[in-house]
Amino acid sequence: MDLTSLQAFYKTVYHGSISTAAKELYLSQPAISMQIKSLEQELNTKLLLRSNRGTIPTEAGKIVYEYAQRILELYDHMNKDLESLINTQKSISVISCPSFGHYSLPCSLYEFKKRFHGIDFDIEFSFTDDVIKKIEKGVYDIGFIEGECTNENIGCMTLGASQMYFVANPEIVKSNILSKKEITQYSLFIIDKKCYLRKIIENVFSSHALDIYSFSLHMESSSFEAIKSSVLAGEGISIMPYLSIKKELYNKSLIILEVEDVVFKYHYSLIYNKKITDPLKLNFINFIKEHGKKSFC
Amino acid sequence: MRYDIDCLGEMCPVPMLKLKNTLKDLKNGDSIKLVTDHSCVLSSISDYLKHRRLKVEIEEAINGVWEIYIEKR
Repeated sequence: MDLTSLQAFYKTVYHGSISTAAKELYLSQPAISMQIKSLEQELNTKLLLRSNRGTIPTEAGKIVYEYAQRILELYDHMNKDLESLINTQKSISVISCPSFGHYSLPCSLYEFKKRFHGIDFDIEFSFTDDVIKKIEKGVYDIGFIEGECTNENIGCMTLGASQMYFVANPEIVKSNILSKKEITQYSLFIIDKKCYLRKIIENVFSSHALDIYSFSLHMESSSFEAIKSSVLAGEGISIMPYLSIKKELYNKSLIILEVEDVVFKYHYSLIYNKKITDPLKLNFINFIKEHGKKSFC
Repeated sequence: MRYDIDCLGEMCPVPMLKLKNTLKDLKNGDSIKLVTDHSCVLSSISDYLKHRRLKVEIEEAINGVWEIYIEKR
């Protein structure tokens, strides 16, 4: 049975008029008549008597009206219960810059889930600028970024320092200590301009009189994983966050190149919209504040 | 017998499941070397092993990568 035709019938009897029912249900009068007709066909009995004084139910119509009221009420309750279930489901939406989100964040989310049962994380990755925008607009609850955020609507908590290094496949370099001049003989794989870490690299380069264009060749990519596979294949060198290359450094498929006094330092921050009031989300921010450094991968 | 469990790049709870699986077959004199680059793996595994009669040694091989040696005697 179609609930919309039951509702059309119920409202018509309730108001004693097809036109009023039509108005309330935002339907045309013929549409209501059609639905009532199809209900009559389905139940194989006449439900309404139309007269100049309005519309009144038949004996069968009165029975259907009684049941329709209960059925529609039950349906309404079911929808409300479903809604409240969705609303009380605990979830935190997180948006993170890729370098942090892929390598550092999973452990803390796991630890948090262990302590606070039944919480779901909805995780998205985007570059720092976009993370800040989405936190300000309130699209996501919590953001993780490289660097800091000075926006007045956004709370910012520094999480800790990290570093990027020149890396290479050990087979393509003669030594792990190189001069600035020697390093530019290699092809450089570099993260896309949209990534905040690219700004760090460019700042460090300019303060050391280095230039991306002085490398024999440079290629850009928006993913450190893609860069890593090129560097592993020995196609060139790159500048990568330590967190993203731990495994390769351990099994010695990549080595860190020391290039005079060139160091790439930066830090990560947690950001949130200051309008947040949900205790669960504030709890999560506090958890990161207290256990952050320990619980990051 | 010496078991090597490589958990580099793997996050909780995968390393723990791998370890539990290997511990089942561990006989006296056997040892395990588990490598992880996740600090939460390190803490959950050390908690888990605390109450077992096993010899456990942890070495930080490079910054952020740990080798866990487990021996049954």
